[in-house]
Amino acid sequence: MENTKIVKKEKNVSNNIFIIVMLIVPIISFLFFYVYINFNSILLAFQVPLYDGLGGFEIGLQNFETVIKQFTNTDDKFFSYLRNTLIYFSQDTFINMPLSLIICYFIYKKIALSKVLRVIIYLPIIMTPTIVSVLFKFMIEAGGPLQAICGTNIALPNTFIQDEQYALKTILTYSIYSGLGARFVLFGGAMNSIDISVIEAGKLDGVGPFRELVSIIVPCIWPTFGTMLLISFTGVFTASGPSLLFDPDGRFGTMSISYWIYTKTTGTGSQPELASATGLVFTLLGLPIVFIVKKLTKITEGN
Amino acid sequence: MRTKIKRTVGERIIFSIVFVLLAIYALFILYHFYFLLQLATKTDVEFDQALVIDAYGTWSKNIQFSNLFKAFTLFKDEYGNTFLSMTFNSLWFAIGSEVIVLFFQSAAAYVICKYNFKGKSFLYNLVIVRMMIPIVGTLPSAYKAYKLIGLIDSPLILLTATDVLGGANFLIVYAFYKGISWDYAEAAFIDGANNFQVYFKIMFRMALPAISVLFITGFIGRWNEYLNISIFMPNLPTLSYGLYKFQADMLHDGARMPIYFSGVFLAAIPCITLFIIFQNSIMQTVHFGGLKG
Repeated sequence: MENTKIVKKEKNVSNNIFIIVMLIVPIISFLFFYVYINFNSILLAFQVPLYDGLGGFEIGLQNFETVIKQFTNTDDKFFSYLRNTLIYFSQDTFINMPLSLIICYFIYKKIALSKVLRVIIYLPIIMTPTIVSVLFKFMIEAGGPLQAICGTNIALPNTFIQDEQYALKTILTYSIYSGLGARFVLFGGAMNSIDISVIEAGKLDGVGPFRELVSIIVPCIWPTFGTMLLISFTGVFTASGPSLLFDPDGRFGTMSISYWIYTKTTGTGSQPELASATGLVFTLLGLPIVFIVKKLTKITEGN
Repeated sequence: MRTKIKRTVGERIIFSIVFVLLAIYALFILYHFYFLLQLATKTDVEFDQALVIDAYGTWSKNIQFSNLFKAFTLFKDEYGNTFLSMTFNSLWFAIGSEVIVLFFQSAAAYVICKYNFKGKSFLYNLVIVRMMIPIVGTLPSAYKAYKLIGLIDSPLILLTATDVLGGANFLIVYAFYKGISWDYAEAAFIDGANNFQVYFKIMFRMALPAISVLFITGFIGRWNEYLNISIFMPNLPTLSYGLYKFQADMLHDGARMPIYFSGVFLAAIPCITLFIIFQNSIMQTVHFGGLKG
């Protein structure tokens, strides 16, 4: 009896040591790279620089006042950053995600050349965006294949991206074209794990492709689909097209909130305090949206 | 034996239409590579003239495959970083980050999944909550913190990869461990194995298919990273960021653009090769197990 107790105690000690060894680095890292950085970001948001050459600052709410003023004034360019952010988010969540699901479904159903198509459609995801974007630009601008196809009678803008009328639309087109394969791995993996007898039972009942996708596949892969939807919504205010690649100065009306924060992080004209305050405001605005989506998607283990 | 159910006429029509659409889309993607090779093998003069005569998308009369070799020496940024040094930066950054991430992520996910201890639920919920808090704008704070501990422009930036208690990949590894029966561990314990032996010799090896896939997809992601590199490693550019800087500085300067496109062509090769080799494992191994909470 005594021996059993000792063995059990030794096992507990050895288990505890194992657990500590396995978790110590991730926990310390979490405390610094997540807790400290986020806490610091909140502090930064309340700091108002004095521009005294000594790096001095005072504590106040001025940054938040500026943020609210800028984003509620519909004539202000910041309002257009918010609008662009929501457009980028909607394009990714409501166009790319369903299209990706549909394409994945047909590949899962072994459409002709499905294996070849799967590889090719995933290629823009594998390649560096800096490569794909510059090729895309050269293809659609003057001198490129699009101009060669259109002929000299149709004058294309010198570059679509340097024209405010077309810049945002060009980025959205590029994002759709280059982003359809982005969710292939997770959708493909989830569909491949569906029990084939479920699909066959539906087939025997005469279910067509649309109903099969909506009524069988989507419910079967719901943990994956719902989680991806939720992740997508957590990025509602961080959605950003590839602005750095197409319009790095944001001169042609393509700037998003997160890209604006990026431009304010370092270098000349940086305003890290205002950027942090902006981030904090949008974090608070995003929270209820994410929790509502979580509630609606009912993502729980096992369903 | 399963009987193969034939598609109805209606289904065949739908599948044919979708096939045609996907084939057009795929051809457009493939055309990029053809176009890239056309740009990369032009002479400098031809490239200069192409804008005027709409000839970017035509083959050179004097194809310069030597541009592909010249990219190794002539492709440089203003700090003297060459194509090879950028490739080296990409390699240590992508491989180093992913090895660190997966080592610690697997360890944490395994313990949280398989062991009972105080704080287990807290840690799991932390991962979920962290994923659901839509944090915006911590870049300035992160920059200050990284600068404080000397991570900017340093290989020590790899330390950031130890922050693994969060993200979708954690859930994928967790779901994978959840699917592995604990009976294997029990049998090993009876044979005298300790916790570390069970993890490294049995469980980790069983999770290797999923972990390898995450390594490959993670590697591709890191290889292609450019936005964070521009903030945290501006003087240690990876190939992806180097290509961006090069094109931003030189765009439409015909004199060096074929060399740039040769660099682009070479930079695309590693990821495409990796994907083609491992595409089946990548597409079939990974899925979420669902979220709790």
